[in-house]
Amino acid sequence: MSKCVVPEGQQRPSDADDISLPSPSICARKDRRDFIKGLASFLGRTQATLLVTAAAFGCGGGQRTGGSTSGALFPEETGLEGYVRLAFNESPYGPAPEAVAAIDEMLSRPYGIEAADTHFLPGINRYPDFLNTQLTETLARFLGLRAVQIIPCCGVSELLYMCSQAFLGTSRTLLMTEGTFPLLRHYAVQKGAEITFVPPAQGLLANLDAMLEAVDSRTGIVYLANPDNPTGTMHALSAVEGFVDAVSRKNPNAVIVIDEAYVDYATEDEPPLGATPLVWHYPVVVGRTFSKAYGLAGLRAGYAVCREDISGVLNGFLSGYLGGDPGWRMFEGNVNRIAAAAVIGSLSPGGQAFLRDVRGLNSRMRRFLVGELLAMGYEPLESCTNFLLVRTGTDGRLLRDWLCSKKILVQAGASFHPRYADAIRVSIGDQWELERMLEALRDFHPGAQSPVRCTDAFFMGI
Amino acid sequence: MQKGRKPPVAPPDPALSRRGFLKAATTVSGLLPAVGSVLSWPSRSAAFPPDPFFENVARMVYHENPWGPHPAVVEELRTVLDKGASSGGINRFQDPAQEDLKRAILRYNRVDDILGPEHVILGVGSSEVLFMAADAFTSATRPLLTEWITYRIIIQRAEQNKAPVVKVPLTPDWQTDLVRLESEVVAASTNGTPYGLIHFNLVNNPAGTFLRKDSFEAFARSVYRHSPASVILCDDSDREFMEPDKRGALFEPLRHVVEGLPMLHVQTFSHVFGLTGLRIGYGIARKDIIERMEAHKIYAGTNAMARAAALASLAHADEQVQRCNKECCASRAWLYDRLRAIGLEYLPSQGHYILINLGTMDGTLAVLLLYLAHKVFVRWGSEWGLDSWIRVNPGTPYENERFIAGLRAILDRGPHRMSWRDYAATTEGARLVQAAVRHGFPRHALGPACHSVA
Repeated sequence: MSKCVVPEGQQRPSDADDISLPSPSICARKDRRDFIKGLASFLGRTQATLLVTAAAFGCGGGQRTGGSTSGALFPEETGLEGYVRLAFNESPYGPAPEAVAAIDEMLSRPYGIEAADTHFLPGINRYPDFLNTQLTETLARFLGLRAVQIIPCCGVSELLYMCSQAFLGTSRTLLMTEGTFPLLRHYAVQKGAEITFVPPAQGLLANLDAMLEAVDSRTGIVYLANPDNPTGTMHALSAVEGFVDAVSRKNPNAVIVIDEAYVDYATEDEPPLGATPLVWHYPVVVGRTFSKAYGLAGLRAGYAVCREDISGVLNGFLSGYLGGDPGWRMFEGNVNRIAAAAVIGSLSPGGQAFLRDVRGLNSRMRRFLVGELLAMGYEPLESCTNFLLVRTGTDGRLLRDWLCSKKILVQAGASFHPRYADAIRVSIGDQWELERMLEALRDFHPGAQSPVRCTDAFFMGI
Repeated sequence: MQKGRKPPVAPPDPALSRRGFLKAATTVSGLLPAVGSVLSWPSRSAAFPPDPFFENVARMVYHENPWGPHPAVVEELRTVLDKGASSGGINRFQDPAQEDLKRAILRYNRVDDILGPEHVILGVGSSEVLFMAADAFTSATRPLLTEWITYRIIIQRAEQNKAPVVKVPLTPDWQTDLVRLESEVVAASTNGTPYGLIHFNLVNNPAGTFLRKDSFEAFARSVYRHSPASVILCDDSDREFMEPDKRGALFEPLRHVVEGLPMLHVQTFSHVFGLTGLRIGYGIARKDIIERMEAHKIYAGTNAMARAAALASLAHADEQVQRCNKECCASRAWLYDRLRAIGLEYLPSQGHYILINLGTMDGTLAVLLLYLAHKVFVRWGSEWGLDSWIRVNPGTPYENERFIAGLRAILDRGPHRMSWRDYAATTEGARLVQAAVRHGFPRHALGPACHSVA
């Protein structure tokens, strides 16, 4: 996903596309500035200085001692201080104090037993609990489910990976909304599975009726992100239940993957059952993550909820699974010790209180942001998540690049689908971040030129 | 906003705690059992309840580092934690490319002037790297060649991929049988079914013998000549634990990588660097080999803590390696001494593990008794078909003492000359199995005996 986005077979990007800056890996052993200058002359552009600036932004960070060469994702390390990150839907409020305390406790554990009275619990130098029993059982208690229906995984990435491995293939297709979260599509392409895209309905909601029509005997996975990324729309659970029921009648072998990465913003239920009750009766896999409202994006923690027979199949495709004994869920653990500790802390009553606060703050900031954007003449789509898809009336990529030059990072709608080419997706940060963003946005006018050009891949399309 | 919804009535689940149900029964608003049990947690520390039995179990079983990571690493992790919600905190996504970490890895291996980040692939532990290699290079038409005994997980992954697996036994003195391996490679290539992947441990786990420079060099060159489509995988987990005078004789896979040969060098942060729980490992190989493995990778698996810890570990690598090497050599030597005193056969090892032959006692039985009666957890040799053997990871002095004391005690008590299967079928044996499983002993180690446990 970090490669340049020039489609295969195309030697030069068309004018409508980004100039694809060489990805850092291509730059690896050559002097970056020379490479960019060479590229500039190849493309016949005269704005070599602009590209050099872009190179400094995108690839030049590694010139600093010990700095990241990966650019603005680590502004402190590259010395590009003060970048406002509103592009990745991260929570600006961080993890719950209970999660931090749990991590701190994990870091304080002794490494081995030095004396008879050592209070020993396994620390970071020990493999995670192979069966992740404590994590699984905590989640099961939290959601009122059985432990066997829960599979902890290394973020949504692993969840979608194992679904693609288990349920897609050359004769099993993927059905999804056009322009929705693209990671499963990426894995499907790797697996050689055909993909059927269904355009969204009015108001950019997923078109459940059209998707149902498109289900056939070859459908392996029906993918529904609910709430959806990047639109921020959400179907009511009654609609989802009806859809799931109809799909499973039409094709009992199709697995319906419901990606609930943003459900914690969309519901005040405690616990947030969402679509999980469906797993008792339908071939549904509900995906959840701790990367968003729980503020643990860097730790890679998520889980899947599904029926027992499906979890049996999925277990076979976990990154760490090895065949054999039925009780043998995974080998060496894919969710690391620190992530597990943080999750268990986050699921405690204090952690849930913190989540409530985060949700409340997010709602307030969302209302604030919507009001400001409307006043400026932009069109934010109504959202129940921690981001807004905003129609701008101008080229979304241009606006993204322009904001980037002002040290504000947002996503371009075009990186999801051309129908969102005039939109940007803005994460709902905290007060300070949003005010910075709005301040920069006020200076933008149609016809403004961006001094930098960025690639979609640079923003990771998440 | 979604209104609350009652879930359909769930089938009764014995796994739900009784406490949870009682709490639900007494809750006025009739909330779900799940909410009831959440409300019943008294404090944060109870969210991570210590299992009284697990306290003070000496873990000498999973090849973990009891001497821990370098202190600067934990400092660094606390710094990351203190960053809170700022740009560098754990609430922020990592860049999947991780170039600076890859460069640091190449610097540590002294090949940063020749190789670049495109020659490195990160994994969620070196296990993921092994799995990616198996996924990329083995299939129904591309077999795996390895030796037996060895570190098993790649065999299991290849079998999962429906790849045929050929295992060449070690020689009677537990060394790699390069002659037989070479003839297998040549034969397969001649038959038109060349091996996709040829797997080795640089220091054999669990035997503790190692690949020697001269002989393995000749073998590898022969493989490249006769079977150019094959990739050789050298898993380098324990070189830092070798006796210093033996290190110089170890084969160096990176020399072949630098030459552009189809060699994949796999290393980990789980052993000498002690970052086992953080899950980070890597492979270094030619660019096209890395690219083929990337296609089987989970997107963005490396976590923020592992990254910070890995960078800090590499910055203090020399000190850490020196300290752990010294501890491990001393620990091994002490154990050899005591094992000789007891009169047990063992394999002198260059790795952080020692295979011990119990002679008349079943290995799995010994492991179970050591676990329950002496709170020492070691590895069952039956995993490698060595039914009367156990494998121990040398530990701290206290752990070693407890292990030897326990070993003496169980050998005195017996039973001897009884297979694990037969023992587990007795009343006493069945009771022991039940107790072990109740106390978290891994079921798969107990084999079929545990399925009779209620």
